[in-house]
Amino acid sequence: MKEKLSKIFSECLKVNEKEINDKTSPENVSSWDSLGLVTLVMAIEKKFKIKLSFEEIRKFTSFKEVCEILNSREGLK
Amino acid sequence: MNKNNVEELKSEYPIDFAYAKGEHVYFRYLTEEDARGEWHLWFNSPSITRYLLARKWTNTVEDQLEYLKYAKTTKDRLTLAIVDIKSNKHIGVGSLGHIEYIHKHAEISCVIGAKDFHKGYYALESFAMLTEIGFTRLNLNKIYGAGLEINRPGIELSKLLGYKVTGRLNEHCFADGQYKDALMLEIFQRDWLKSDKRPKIC
Repeated sequence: MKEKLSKIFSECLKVNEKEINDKTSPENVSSWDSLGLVTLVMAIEKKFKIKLSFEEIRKFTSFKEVCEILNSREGLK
Repeated sequence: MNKNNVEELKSEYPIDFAYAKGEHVYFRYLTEEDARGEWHLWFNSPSITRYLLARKWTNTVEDQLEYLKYAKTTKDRLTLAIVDIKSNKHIGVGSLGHIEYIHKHAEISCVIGAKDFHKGYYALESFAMLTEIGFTRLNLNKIYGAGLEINRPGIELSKLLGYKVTGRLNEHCFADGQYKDALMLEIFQRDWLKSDKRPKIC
């Protein structure tokens, strides 16, 4: 799941996949602006066939946080 | 205004009395200090006004104070300061304007003016909170907005929250040296209340 997510981050935020790590956040990736966030959410919902709640999206503050949110969803790999 | 009044305005707003509080931002009423601070400057910057349908003229402190006076007294518009919870910095302004009490609709508008806060979640949370306020506090039936089609951040953000594109205004705005189309977006209370994109606010 982490690898899939890393690829989504790379595509949506236009960042080299090798540069994506747990600390990747809006603070250190300039393309993680409001459009970047929306693009990420839509791509994740499409790829994992889920609907994210607003409370989950609110926690999109780092790559690590996003991983944890998806890990908490049963059945996602 | 004497010096003491100015000092009073500079005191930190007690967040416990916020008009609405989310995870990253809270809303409060706008003050003279806001008008004299960055608020009036945002509407002079092309990087901020690029996607706005109006605001092509300069904006002075006096202009902002005049607007503040209007915003404080009118019941046709709810205008709120958007404040970053972590730093207590005034970062933007959001409003529900053209409020129609009979037809129960209003036009949404949200500007994050502080450039350091364009990243991530500030605009999304602010827009969602304004929508929630419109439907659950003002009891609106519909909220609508218009945005330049080239304003992808604004359009996509609205769509993510459930706003539907319901119209196109051809060559409606002059931006970047060309006439550009604007899109009309709207959302109904009945759809919002069952949406998974509703934010919890207090």
